[in-house]
Amino acid sequence: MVTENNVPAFSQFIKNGKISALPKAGWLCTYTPEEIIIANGFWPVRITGRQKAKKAEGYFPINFCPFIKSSMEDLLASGDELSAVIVTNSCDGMRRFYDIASKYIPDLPFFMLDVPRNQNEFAVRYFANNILKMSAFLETISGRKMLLPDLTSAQEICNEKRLLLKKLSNFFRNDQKVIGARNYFNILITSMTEEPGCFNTDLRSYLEYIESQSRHNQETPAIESGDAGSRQIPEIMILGNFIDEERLWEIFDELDCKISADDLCSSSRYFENIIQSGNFSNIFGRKQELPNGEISIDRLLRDIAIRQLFKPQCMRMANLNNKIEEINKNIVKNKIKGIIYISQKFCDNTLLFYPLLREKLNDKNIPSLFIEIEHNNLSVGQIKTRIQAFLEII
Amino acid sequence: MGIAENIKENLKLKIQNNLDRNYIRNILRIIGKRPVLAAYGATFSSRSDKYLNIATIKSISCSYNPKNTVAYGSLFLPYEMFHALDLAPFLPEVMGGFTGGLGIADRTLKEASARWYTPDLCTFHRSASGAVELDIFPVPNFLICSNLACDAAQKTFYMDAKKFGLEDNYYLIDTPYDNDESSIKYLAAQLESVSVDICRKSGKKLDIRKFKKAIRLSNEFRQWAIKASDIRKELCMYPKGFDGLNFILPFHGLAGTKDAVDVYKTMYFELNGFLKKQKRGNIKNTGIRRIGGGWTSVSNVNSININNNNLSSSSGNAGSDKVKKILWLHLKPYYNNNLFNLLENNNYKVVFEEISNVYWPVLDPEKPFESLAIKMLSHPLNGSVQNRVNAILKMAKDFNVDGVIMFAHWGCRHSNGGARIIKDSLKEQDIPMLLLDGDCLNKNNSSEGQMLTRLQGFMEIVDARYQY
Repeated sequence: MVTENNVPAFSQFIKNGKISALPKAGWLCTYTPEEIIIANGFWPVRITGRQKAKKAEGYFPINFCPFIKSSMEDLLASGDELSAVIVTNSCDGMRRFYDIASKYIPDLPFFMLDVPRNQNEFAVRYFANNILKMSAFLETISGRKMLLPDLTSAQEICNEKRLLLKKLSNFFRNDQKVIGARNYFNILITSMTEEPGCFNTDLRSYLEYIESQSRHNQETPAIESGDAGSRQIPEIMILGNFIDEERLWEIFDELDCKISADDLCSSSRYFENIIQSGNFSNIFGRKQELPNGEISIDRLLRDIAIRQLFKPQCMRMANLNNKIEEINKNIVKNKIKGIIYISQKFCDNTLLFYPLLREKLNDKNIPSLFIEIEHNNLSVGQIKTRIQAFLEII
Repeated sequence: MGIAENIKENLKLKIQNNLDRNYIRNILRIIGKRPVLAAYGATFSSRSDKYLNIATIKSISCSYNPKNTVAYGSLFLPYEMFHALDLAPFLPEVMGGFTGGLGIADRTLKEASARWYTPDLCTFHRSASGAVELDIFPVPNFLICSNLACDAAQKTFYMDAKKFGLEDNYYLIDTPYDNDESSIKYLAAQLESVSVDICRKSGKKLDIRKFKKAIRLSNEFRQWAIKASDIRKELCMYPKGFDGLNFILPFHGLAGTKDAVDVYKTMYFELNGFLKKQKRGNIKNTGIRRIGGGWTSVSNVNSININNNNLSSSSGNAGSDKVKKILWLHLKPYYNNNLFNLLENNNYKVVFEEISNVYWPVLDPEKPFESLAIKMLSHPLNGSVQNRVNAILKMAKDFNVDGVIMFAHWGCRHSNGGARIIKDSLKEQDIPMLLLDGDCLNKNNSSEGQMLTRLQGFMEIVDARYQY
């Protein structure tokens, strides 16, 4: 696969896939602090529901999150490749996923990480304590204790990944045709499943490559095809939950539109908000530094807790006004003309947020398109027609 | 149709034809007056039902009275806190159930759909949101919700807060997953902080004496509720009109009031009277064994007079003269339906409901916030489904049930998502479970014929488990 500008896709660019000997620990939600998994000697692998739910259908009711069912199918098919799974208390569906998976896959250790919904001092303290419990769980599996250098090093890896992804995201916004929507969203998924150190190296090289390609394209006079140069391409924002559908992203590559902002738990909610040690600790006006400026595990855990709770938020969080504000900022900053809101079916948090968002968008005269999809079961033709019609309107 | 039913039907019709907050307030004002309420209460044949209805009308009337400080609350909050803060509670989810009973759910659901609530969402929340948008529900001063058990309330309450311009008076009590020291601390701190903030906004001081009083009343209510439950362990012969699934409002919303104490005290004495009658009657333990072991001793109540209607069961005669005990999980359809008639006609009795289970320990009035936090965290629907399974297995054992019916309400992810584990866990104890898919409010989303057929099939299985 190559993008419109003949840039190879990331998956093709990475010719020699490196295999890590590290044991893998699965995770599902972006509120999971990957740093802790890495610091405990594991390769964090996001469970992305690659398999179409078949056996998993028997464990869940019919009107249940299709992503969760596919994730269960993944575990039933290849759970033995994992040493542990971290589940978060992010929604009703995830709680039941934890119950079902831990009961019916008894050989695989599971940990439930409770993530608060409020964003205040109580919540930060509570969450930092829960992250510590998660680390203790991983320590019992790895058989070794997480030390301060482990955590600082893991944090550096995660921060670098977030910076690289942020760079990629900016590049995608500015020059979408070079990277391509399908390629961009695939890279994001790869960032959550590949060994972080190797991924960072690969993405760094890829970014250098596409930057040079982009420079080359700018230096080469463009050959205008038809009236594409004079037409204004609508700038849209994609909003939703966990969306990993190659065929959906292909639609955006095929249509004349520019994804100028995205807010999915498979995109910016994963990499935004980079930890800069010391910055976060002052968020509630309390300086947490040790007298001699030393860094401690407690301090880092607090930083991680704050980073996670204050990153671009999921619709599960209490203060929905904050979410609306985040979206508004994106609209203004990126001159968004329309929003495509994509939700997995039966995701209550996302579905219940839409009525509120739509009303707020109406006040600002921003049109929105609401699409409900079923993970691994996309009705491409129908969705393409709806997106086309929406783009015509805006 | 009796007098009580006639009055109820007339009220229903009036409300259906005048869907308006002020009209409902006026109706409540009239029937909430003591003599009218007493006359209304006298129409009920069951004293428990009478007290339930009176307490319910009183509570709803208070929330519609603009003189009171009204707070919307989600179902599993500790309402002792509301009463200690002098807040008149209004439970939109419970009242969403009332929209089904009042026959107005079609309209409230339609309104919710028009506002982009998808039909995949829980109808309790959708109907409540529709009712708020239609200006049927009272205007609140505060909105307090929790994520205990389900995610939906925190969203719908926020939208309600926005509608009333009360975003600053919206509180989410973030309920932790585990029931441990750090969770109790986190939750208690939130309860205290919310209470302090509400007092500040109401221009009052936090009065711990009121908390102590509410908690003492809550403990008293708890004690009577347990005593009433204990009676039901043996009881097969119930007062006419008694339905444990109707007591959700006093069980939650009135906890911490004298009304809750009165309702459950009345229930205890009434059921105790029936138990005495039952014991005096032609009732004995048959010693019938269930095939495959499990718990034994099923009461044989030959003297129970079952009302006949046109429904018939295909379950045959096997064991049809023995009362089969059913534990009911989750809620029930609140519109007219024949599920319970079919059960009754085939000598099946719902002897206990999951929602009637007293799940929390005695509360300490000296530590109000910590106690209320413990109450919330003790709820079997909080945390792992194993908590719920443990509670269900205990209820099944305590009430010696022959089967369990779980009403799988459409859109309830937390409950239905655990159905497989619950069913498997009951199977390990040799207790059959029926998962009855339907919708508690939207009759258009439930196929009654299908439900009755499945119920008949289930009864055949249970009947076949007896040897004579």
